Amino acid sequence: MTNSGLQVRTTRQDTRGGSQGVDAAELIRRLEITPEDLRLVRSYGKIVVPQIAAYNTLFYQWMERQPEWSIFFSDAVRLTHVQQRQMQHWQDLFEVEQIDEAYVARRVRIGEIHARIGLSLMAYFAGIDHSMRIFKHELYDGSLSIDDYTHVSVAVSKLIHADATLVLDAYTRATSQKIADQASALLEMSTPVTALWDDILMLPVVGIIDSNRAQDIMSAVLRSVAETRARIFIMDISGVPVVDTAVANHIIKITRATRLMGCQSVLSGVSPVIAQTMVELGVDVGGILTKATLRDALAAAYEAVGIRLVTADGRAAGSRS
Amino acid sequence: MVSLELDVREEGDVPLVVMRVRRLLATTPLSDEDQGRIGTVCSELAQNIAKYAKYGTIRVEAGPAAGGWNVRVQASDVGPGIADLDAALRDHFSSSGSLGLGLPGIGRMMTSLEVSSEVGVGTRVLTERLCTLRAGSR
Repeated sequence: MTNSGLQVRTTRQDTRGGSQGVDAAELIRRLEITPEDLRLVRSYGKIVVPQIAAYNTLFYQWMERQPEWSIFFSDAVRLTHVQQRQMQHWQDLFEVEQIDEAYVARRVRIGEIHARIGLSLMAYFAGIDHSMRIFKHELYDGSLSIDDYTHVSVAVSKLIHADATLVLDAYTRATSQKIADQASALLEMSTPVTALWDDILMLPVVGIIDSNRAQDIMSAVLRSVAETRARIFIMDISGVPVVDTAVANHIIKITRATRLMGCQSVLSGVSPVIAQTMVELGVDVGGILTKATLRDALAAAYEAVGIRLVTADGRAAGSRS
Repeated sequence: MVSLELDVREEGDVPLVVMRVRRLLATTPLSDEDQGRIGTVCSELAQNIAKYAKYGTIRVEAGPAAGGWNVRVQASDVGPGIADLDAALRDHFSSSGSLGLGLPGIGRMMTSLEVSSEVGVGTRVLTERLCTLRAGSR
């Protein structure tokens, strides 16, 4: 384990997303794709691949009537490019020798592109469904026996569903990646360790602290202590709704670590509710300097670094008497 | 009577549990102290599920009772179970290097606490508290 918050987050994403997604072996096992299926698909490919230009015409006649048309295909150069890629894709499917990692990777890439441009899954599946109908019915020349056609149809469906599985998986991973990125962006914005004065650092913590966030706070604070050689670190938790034993443990560890670097931590903003629950939980905060308010913490910090505040006419400032 | 049930699979789910429980309690007349206690208890229990078990749920039910509102929190998980229940209920016992105050702390905050566990199967924690109400509500 490392102190870098970034790496901690990466580990978390890896455990969640199943890292690389679906692999070829899993896909073959799940969809029960046999070498016979691949042979049948190739035999049907001999009928439809020579008509791939007709597929293209039929598909785009349909596509033009879809609401996505004007968003994605207003540019003629892009349209031609996409049509070329799409025809290659189908040719690749109908001439499949084996389903290996390269075959899977080409399809995952298509899913990632669709997810990135923001095509809805509904539009994607409508396109897949329409393509399947073109290949199975409109381009079929009637040359197979009913039995052979039935077997071919099942095999073609398996491969098209394999495509859809990979694309759906790529969509899902792109979405969870986006959520994780947004969460970490928020996390990075939420540890603004600020130098309040020479030797005094302050961090207002707002929201719920989990161990990833505690790690982030720890590294941000220790980095700032090292940079500024601060002697006092005020951590204000008035924006923290719940302090359970795990959070208390993190707070204790942060204060211990700063102390090792010669910086005393002051915990402020301990609300009556949090004070009470911490006592009931039995958390021992004996070693930590705590103050009810940020104001009190600041007064203690000034005192600790030898600053006395006076008003313009020489009276002691900020005292409550 | 209000209630909610939430899934816990990993540590990232704990803040979501705390947030949803707090939102639920905000709709009740519970005192701030008791909202804080119940929120902390749920956080503690969700944390335990995330830390030790594969999967679990937190169920919270709150409703009017004689003398206030009764809040019942149940945490059930599919996990390794607790080998030594007596030890887990003692202060400063931890099998993971944490403070070891979670379960005993819940015992101190709540009116009742029942823990049942089967090694290799899972753990169920049921805890209740008769809560006081915010001044001026009834």
